[in-house]
Amino acid sequence: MKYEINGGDKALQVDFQQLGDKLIIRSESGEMGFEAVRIQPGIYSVIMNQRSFVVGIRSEVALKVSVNGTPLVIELLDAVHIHLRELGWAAMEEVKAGLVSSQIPGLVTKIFHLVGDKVAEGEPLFLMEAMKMENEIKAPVSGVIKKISIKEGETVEKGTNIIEIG
Amino acid sequence: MFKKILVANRGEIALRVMRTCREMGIEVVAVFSEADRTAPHVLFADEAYLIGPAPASESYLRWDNILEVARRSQTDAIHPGYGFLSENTEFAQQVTEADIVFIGPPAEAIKTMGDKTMARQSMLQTDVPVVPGTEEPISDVEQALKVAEDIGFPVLIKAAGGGGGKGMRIVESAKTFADSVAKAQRESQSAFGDGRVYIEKYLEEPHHIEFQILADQHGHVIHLNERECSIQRRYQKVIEESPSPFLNPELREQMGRAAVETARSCNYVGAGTVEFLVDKHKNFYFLEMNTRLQVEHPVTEMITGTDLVAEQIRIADGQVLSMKQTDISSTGHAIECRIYAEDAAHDFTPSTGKISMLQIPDGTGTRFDGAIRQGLEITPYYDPLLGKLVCWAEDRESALNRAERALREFYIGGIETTIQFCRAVIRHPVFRHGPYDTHFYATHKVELMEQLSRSSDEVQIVAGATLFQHREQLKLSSQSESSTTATRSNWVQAQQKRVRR
Repeated sequence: MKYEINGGDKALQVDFQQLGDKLIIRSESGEMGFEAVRIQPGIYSVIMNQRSFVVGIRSEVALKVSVNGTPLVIELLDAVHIHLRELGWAAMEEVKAGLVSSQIPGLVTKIFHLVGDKVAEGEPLFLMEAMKMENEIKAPVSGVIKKISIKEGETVEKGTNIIEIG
Repeated sequence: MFKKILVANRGEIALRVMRTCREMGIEVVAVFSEADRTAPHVLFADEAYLIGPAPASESYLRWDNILEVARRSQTDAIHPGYGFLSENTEFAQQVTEADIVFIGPPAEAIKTMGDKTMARQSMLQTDVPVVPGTEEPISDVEQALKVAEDIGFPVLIKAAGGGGGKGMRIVESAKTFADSVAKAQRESQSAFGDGRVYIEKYLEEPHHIEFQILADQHGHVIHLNERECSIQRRYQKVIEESPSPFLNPELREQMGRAAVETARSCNYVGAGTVEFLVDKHKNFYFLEMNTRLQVEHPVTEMITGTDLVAEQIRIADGQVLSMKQTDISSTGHAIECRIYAEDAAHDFTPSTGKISMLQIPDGTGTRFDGAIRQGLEITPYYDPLLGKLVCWAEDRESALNRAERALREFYIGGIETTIQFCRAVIRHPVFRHGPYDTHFYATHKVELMEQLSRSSDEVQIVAGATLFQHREQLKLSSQSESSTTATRSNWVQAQQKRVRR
């Protein structure tokens, strides 16, 4: 099966062939024997051509991987997706530029605006306290605040939508 | 000697202190918040008491509750660790008044040195040079702005009531001054319960070098050499080493003497640290004195062969220092890497979650002071320090090679950590070469980040193929009837969330 391993700055073309528990990988660098043994949920001991690696699949974001600790963000595209991309289909989710969510879990200590306020790009939106540091979150785009989903003093999880600018 | 010591702290430092206590035959009492019921320090202790809900202000900072536990448990002495109540004058005083020994300096010394502006004033009375700045905390922003303009921008705004980079801001110009003061005040209020801040001149190309001191109750004061702490990000130390590659023997002796003089000037007792800034011309200035055990104290322990916590306990017990200045020698080289639960690739944002896998490095000359285990939940409530990796070897190069080896061996799954960032620093040619300054991180940030994410074709293929196998396995397990939500991997749950959204 043909796949593309896209690491952002470079994309590698590979061919995976399942052979029992093992894989035969063919790429520009030649043919490699590959074996991944699960040692913990999401963590694998990999031996590829007798070279040993510990690989972690980060759970929150599906395409985040670490190899011997080095973090990588990769995309694994199969033949169908490669073809779709060639046809101009964007497989990516639509990114909402005006949606501001928390990058870290923490406590929202202050919100500077009300729904209906006009904000300029770079203007402070709210303050968040996490691990004793205060973080000022700024508007990513200019616009009008359409929605504020939380109140001052609320604790939020990572990824919680906080403010929507339309 | 004490029979029982209460450790008014959590995390790696609580465990560090408890270890020495147990080795000295002293029973240990732990206090914990609701978030820390199964934290390593609770498991280690002989006795453990719940002192309140998760937020530190309702638990680890509640000295009234901690004192109540001390009375109930018939504790002889309290060790405050670092952070939390360690530099709180009122706590030290209340402990002493309750007839319990406070393992730390007298409240008066904490008051003088803990308040950075008072410390500056007090140091101006000595021969020790001080960085130019305000002598009083900022009460009037207009007036403070005048001082800032007098000493010249850039200036630093610093918390009067604490350290660790919290509440600290660098201000480049008058334009952002008032805003930065307000922010620093809020941050200090939240971190230390004290919103006062002051201004100091920002030195260019400075080295942050500190001296460990020990003082007993009988007037003996010694220093145990320096720690080079110039590798910082957001004004927080990440890597420390000793000896400093920047100092020469003459400067070391001068600074050591200044450190001892600083401790004497405030009638210091116990273990303390005198921090200096050294500019590129090797002029040094008193920065502040930390009236507690430092995070990076193991660096000193490794090169001097001492146990600083044991020294603290003996001093608090009224014993005479067992060492004279001439007994202190520095052997080999030690380096500490702080392992934080932070995402170095994304501006060191805190990372929380469950530690899914843990492999702590060991082997010759490798020490890890931490408080983590597999399955432990890292919560957003406290400092993100998971532990410290300290490596010792005969010389600097071997110590760096050892640290690099140990970091390569270190694996923490499930959360982001600074392990690989530390590795990138240690591999960097400027760091390898030696005399780096506090701008190292800012100057080399891009290269360091590049190195963090740089991967060979081989690594990329390994990543892709593992992801492929991982998905194949998930397909198999989701097809199988026996698979339950509990055994399904997080990845599947993450996928489901994505679909529902």
